[in-house]
Amino acid sequence: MNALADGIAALLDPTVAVCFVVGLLVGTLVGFFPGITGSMAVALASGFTLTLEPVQGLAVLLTIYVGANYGDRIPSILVNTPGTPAAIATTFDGYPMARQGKAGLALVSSSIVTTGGILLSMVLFVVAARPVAQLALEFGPAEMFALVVFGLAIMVSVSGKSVVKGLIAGVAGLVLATVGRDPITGDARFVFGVNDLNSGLPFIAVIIGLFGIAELFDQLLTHRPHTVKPISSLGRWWPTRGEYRQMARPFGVSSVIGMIVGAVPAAGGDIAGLIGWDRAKRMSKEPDRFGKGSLEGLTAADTASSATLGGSLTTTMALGIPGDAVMAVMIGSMIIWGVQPGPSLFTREPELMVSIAGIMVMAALVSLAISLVRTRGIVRLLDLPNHYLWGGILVCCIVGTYTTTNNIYTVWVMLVSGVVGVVMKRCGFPPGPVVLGLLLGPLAESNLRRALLIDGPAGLVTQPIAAGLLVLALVALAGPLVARARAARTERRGAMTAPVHRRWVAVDHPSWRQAHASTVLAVGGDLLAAWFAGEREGSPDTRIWCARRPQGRRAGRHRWSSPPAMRRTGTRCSPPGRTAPCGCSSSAAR
Amino acid sequence: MTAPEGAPASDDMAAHPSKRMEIASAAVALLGFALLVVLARDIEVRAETGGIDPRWWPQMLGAAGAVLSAVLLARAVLRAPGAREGVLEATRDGRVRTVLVVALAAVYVLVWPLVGFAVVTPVFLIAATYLFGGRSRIALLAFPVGLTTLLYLLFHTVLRVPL
Amino acid sequence: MTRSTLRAGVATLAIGALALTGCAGGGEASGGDAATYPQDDITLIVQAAAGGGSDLSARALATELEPILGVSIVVENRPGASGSTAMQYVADQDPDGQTIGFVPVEVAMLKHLNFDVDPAAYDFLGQIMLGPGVLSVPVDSPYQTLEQFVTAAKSRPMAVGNSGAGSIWEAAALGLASETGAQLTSVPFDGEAPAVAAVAGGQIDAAVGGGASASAAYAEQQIRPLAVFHNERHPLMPDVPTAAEAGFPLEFGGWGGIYAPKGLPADVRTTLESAIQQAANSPGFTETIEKSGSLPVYKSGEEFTAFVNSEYERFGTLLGQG
Repeated sequence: MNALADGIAALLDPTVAVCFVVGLLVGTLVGFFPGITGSMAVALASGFTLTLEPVQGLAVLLTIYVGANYGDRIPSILVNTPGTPAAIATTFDGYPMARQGKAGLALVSSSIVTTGGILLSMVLFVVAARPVAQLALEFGPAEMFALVVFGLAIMVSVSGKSVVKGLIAGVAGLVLATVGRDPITGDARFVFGVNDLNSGLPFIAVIIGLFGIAELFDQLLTHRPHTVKPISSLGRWWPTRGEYRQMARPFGVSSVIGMIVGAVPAAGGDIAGLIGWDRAKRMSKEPDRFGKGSLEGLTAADTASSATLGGSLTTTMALGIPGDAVMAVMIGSMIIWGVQPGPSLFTREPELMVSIAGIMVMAALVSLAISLVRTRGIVRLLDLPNHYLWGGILVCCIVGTYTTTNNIYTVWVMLVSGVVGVVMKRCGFPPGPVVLGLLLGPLAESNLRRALLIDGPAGLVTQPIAAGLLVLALVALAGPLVARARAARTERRGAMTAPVHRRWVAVDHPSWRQAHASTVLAVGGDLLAAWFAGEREGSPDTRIWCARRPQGRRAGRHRWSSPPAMRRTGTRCSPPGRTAPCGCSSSAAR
Repeated sequence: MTAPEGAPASDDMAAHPSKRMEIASAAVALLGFALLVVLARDIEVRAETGGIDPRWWPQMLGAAGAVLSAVLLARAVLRAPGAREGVLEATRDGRVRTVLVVALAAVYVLVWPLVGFAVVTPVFLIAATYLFGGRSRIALLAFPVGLTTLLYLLFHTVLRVPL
Repeated sequence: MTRSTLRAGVATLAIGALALTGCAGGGEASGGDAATYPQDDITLIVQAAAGGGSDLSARALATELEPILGVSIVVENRPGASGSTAMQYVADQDPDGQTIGFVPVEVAMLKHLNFDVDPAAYDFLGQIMLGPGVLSVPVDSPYQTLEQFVTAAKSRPMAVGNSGAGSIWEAAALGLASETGAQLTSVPFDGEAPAVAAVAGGQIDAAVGGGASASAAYAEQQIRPLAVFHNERHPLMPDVPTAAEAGFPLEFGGWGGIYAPKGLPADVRTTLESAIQQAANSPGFTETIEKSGSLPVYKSGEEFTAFVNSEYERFGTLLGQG
């Protein structure tokens, strides 16, 4: 109990509060920018914190770590640009949600589950750090390889419509990952005399290109000068009770995944987010909505990647082995402060562990509050005219990418990835599997070859954890393939789905500002569409409008008639029942 | 929302399925993976160990990719092209704009190391904003200068990145 | 962005800037006595990302150099391609003393690994630190001494982990094997920490790593260090014998120093060398290095140049055989 009191008392020091605020400011600011990862911010800040006391220094570094984790989600959701690898899976559903006018809901939900993930994982840190850390130590090359194969099995589910195209994209990602020096022998592969290629393609530059810049280019390609921008927000910020219930299951599953993956050294929020998203998709009642703006998908991705924080903190403190890149820097700093992370740290300095947990919890809660407060302002960024938005995104991506290595070559990689990404997108190749391949490729190859060097092929099947994971991976790989094949067969045999044609009935009219509640009705051989339109809802000029389109064998050639207004509906004077579009349609048919 | 040429009221904004594009993309993928297998065979290693050496993994990937691309190519040739989900048709203006932006960004990145970030960024932003349709004084002056200042302060002054 | 959010953004930025520079504000003593050089800020290139061992050493030295030289030392990280990106960058700069760099042991190795890095392209101004190599085995390993380990390795191949292909620790294992005839299978990991973890987890028979990571794991009794590849014992592991004491006089270390592009003017070189000597021996610097688990070993520019050349020759024979 004494440790608890001492640890909390140490946090009440005013200098700690100052450090806390500084860390929070830097973290939230930095996370917002694509390219600047939490690890980079922590590394830069660590240069300034060497002279501080451990608790002060930890207050700066840990809050940057937490704050950046919140900030990362924002560009993923708003402009499809994952600021860090950990936010890749956030783009899958977060960006579609924003396109549907649910940016506010997405940001708020994301902050809530991020907080939940961090807090839950901190419980693990406090309660079970040492046993978890011992388990993490069991993860040698063979086990890592099996875990990575398990991760590669996700490729099918992030593939989108065409599995073959998805797999090709995934293999392409694995190929890109082989550029550079061989991980075991150090021989150059596909370097072509370019020195910078020796360290491989810079990962962050590739993801910013493939996701953010490619999306930007696609918007430039397809933008029509007079189309309305997608609504930035429908004005709803908080999830409904039903939505909370929807989020519960993916949250539970993903937080467990996040904690486990986080505890494994060298596997972090990026892999956890993808695995969490994939698992939630498999368990969901509406797997088809994943990748198209599913709140469950967003919940799963963000919970899993943020729950890695506690997991990697556990490995770091209880083993002295960094759980991720940020923690590697953190260990360096702690050693300078005279604190040696390791199993005995929990018995030697229990009060410091309490302080660490306290800092993490406080940082998570305050970050949540900040996120909620700033959400409205941030969503409004989307309402800026395109010329600000596009230029701003482009420059921020370029500068953010540059800062990862201070090397212009990285920016070139990002621009080329952007061009390649937009071509791929237009040809129907999804970027998700490419990134997955690029992320997991080096881990797969190097750990397999390491395992073979150590024990030969036998090691993969005789180690229980490795063998178990490999079996799971095979099941995970076969499951969706079989399901897809079956679905495709049913579709072909029974023609369960009819093709959906989209046609604009009436694109514009001088007197409309708003239109809604459209209805389509088959009348005789023709199609009839009706809708409300006017200056705004409830304004006196609101009318019901109708258009007719003759149906027949050559329907494709026919056009909708130009829409005549049917009835004045000013809310005050219209008799009940007459304002309904259906009422209008039937009277028009007569 | 008004379309420029009178009555494209029935114009479809979704991209049309294209057999040519499907075949071309599959063929490019197939060629790429074939090339990869060839290149992987020629990787120079310092010590020939045989077995699982640096060439093994890329060759395996190349073979897998080639098989998948062949399947895709066969499908593209034999079957009708599927609908292009979530992709809108590109406009002519859009193509011009995109090519110009890519060129502009390339020039920006080329010139940056020569004259420095603080000089070239406002110029790039002015050009980009103009290209994207911004014409007001705020768009062409305040925005480029403001954003550049903001970035410079954040990265150069606070984070000490050598811009 | 609305005006209020813009204003809020600028305000937070300003606060952040103040806070950070406030933390950073060290002693910026007024000008030294050097007549002409240095007048402008000096850029110190580091070949690794911020936060690592090299970065730490370089920044600690820069902090001490600033009051001595009387100008700001701006540390620039140019990571990539095993450090060769930064080395080529330094070689391409004007030899005017405005750009110097932290030079790691890799400068003597990369050429033998087919990188375009030649030690002849630099002026070496002084060694500032050394991280001696340590061979460790799992705590439940049957081998208590280096001799037992080597003897056993003559009859069956041992998997020896290191921090990466072409790293100094892989070279150390190669050196031990060629010196003793032991069969050591090099298992490169992605960095030192995973290699130490693999020893702690018992997945490999042994690992060679730097004193920093080994001493930490040793203090926690996760691994058992058998020998230090240095001419004296490591202060953080005083009961671990040196390799020479164990019967194999081998020395391998991750050393670091300061270099500049070849052809510095003589006065600039002298100013820099004496400043580095003073900074590298200052208590502030040596304390930081010791805490990080390395040793503050200083060599003058002349000694350091000779040392780099001998290391370059040694790695040529060692790495040439693959």
